[in-house]
Amino acid sequence: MTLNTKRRIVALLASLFVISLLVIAYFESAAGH
Amino acid sequence: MKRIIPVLKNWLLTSAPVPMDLLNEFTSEPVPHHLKRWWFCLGGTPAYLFTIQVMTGILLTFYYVPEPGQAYESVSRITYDIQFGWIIRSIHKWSSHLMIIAVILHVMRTFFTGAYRRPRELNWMFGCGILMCTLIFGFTGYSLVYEQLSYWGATVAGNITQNAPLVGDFLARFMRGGDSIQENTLTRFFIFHIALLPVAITLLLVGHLTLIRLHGVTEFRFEEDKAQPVQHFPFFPNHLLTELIIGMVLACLLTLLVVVFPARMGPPADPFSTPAHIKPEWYFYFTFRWLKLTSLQVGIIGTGLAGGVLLFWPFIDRFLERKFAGKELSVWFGIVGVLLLIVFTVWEALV
Repeated sequence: MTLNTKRRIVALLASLFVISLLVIAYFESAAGH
Repeated sequence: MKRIIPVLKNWLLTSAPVPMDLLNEFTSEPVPHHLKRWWFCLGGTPAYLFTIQVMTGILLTFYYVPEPGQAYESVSRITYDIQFGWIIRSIHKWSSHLMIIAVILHVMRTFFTGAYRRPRELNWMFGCGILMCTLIFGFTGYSLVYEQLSYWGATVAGNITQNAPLVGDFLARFMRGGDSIQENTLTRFFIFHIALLPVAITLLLVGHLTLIRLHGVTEFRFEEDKAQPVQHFPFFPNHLLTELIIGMVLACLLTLLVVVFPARMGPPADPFSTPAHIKPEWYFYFTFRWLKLTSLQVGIIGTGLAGGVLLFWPFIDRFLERKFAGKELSVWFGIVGVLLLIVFTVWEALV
C-alpha cells in the first residue's frame, strides 16, 4: 500500500467518524436533555 | 498566513529549544518490514484505547458519586438524564472491552512469535503487568456501577481472594476496606480505578515503550522473506499512518457499538438478595469456570500458578529450549493455553 493510499484511507475514515459524531450530536441536541 | 507560520515556528523553537536533530532521530526509527502486516501493530491499539479511557473517564468523574447510596443513581443520571452522558459512558464501556481484547491479542502475538525471548524478558513482564492492570481496571470499573450483578460479582471476588493462601486475608481486607463489601469498598475501588491503576499502567507503558525503543522492535522474518535482504521502513510517516488507520477504524467501530448497543442499567445492588446466577464480566469467565471445576483452594492456587507461569514464561521457555532444543514446545504450550481460554470462556458463557 503506498503512502498516498494510506493518507486517503485515514482521511476517509476520519471524515466518516466526524460525520457520525455530528449526526449523533444533532440527534442528542434534538432530544433536548 | 504564510508569514504567521514561520513566526510561530520561530517563537516555538525559541521558547522550547528542542534539538531538532535529536527529535528527527527519535521519530524516524527504522521499523522492520514485518510490521507492514497490521496484526503486528496491535501494541499501539491498547495505548490508543487507554487514551480514550482517560478522556471519557475524566468526564464521567464529573458526575459519578463513589458512595453506596448514590453510586447507582449517579450512573443512572449519566446514562439517562445528562446530555451526551450515555455516549461518554458507552464509549468508556466499549473501549474497555476492546482494550482488553487488544491486550490479549497483543500478548498472544508476542507469545507465538517468540518476541519475549532474550533480551526482552523484562519487557514481557512489563506487558504482563499491563495485562493485569487492564483486567483490574475492568473489574473495579464494573463494580463502580453498583448494579446487582456487579455488587455480587465483587462479593464473590472478595471471598475468592480471602481464600488465597498466606496473603488472602490481607488482600481481601485491603481490597474491600473491611470484612465485607461496604461503604469503604466503593471509595477504594474508585481510588484504584481513577488514581492507582492509571499511574501504575502509565509507568508500565513508559517502561514498556522505553525498552522497545532501547532494544528496537524484534526482527521477525517470514519464510517467504528469508531469501530477501533485511528491509526496514521509517516510523514517520509510514508506520504512523498504519497506526492512524487502525485508530480510525477503531473510532468508527466504537461509534457503531455505542449507537447500536448503548450502555444501560441493570437492577440496583441489593445486599440482602442474592441473584440466582452470579456472573463476572466475560474476561473473567475463564477463571470463573476453572474455579467451578475445582475445589476453591486448588482453583486459587492454579490461577496463581498460571499467572506466575505467564509472567516468568521467557525463563521457563529458555529452560525448555535447552532441554528439548528445536522442539518449539512454547508453541504447543501456547496452543493448549489459547484453546483452554476459548473453551472455558465459551463454556461459562453458555451455562
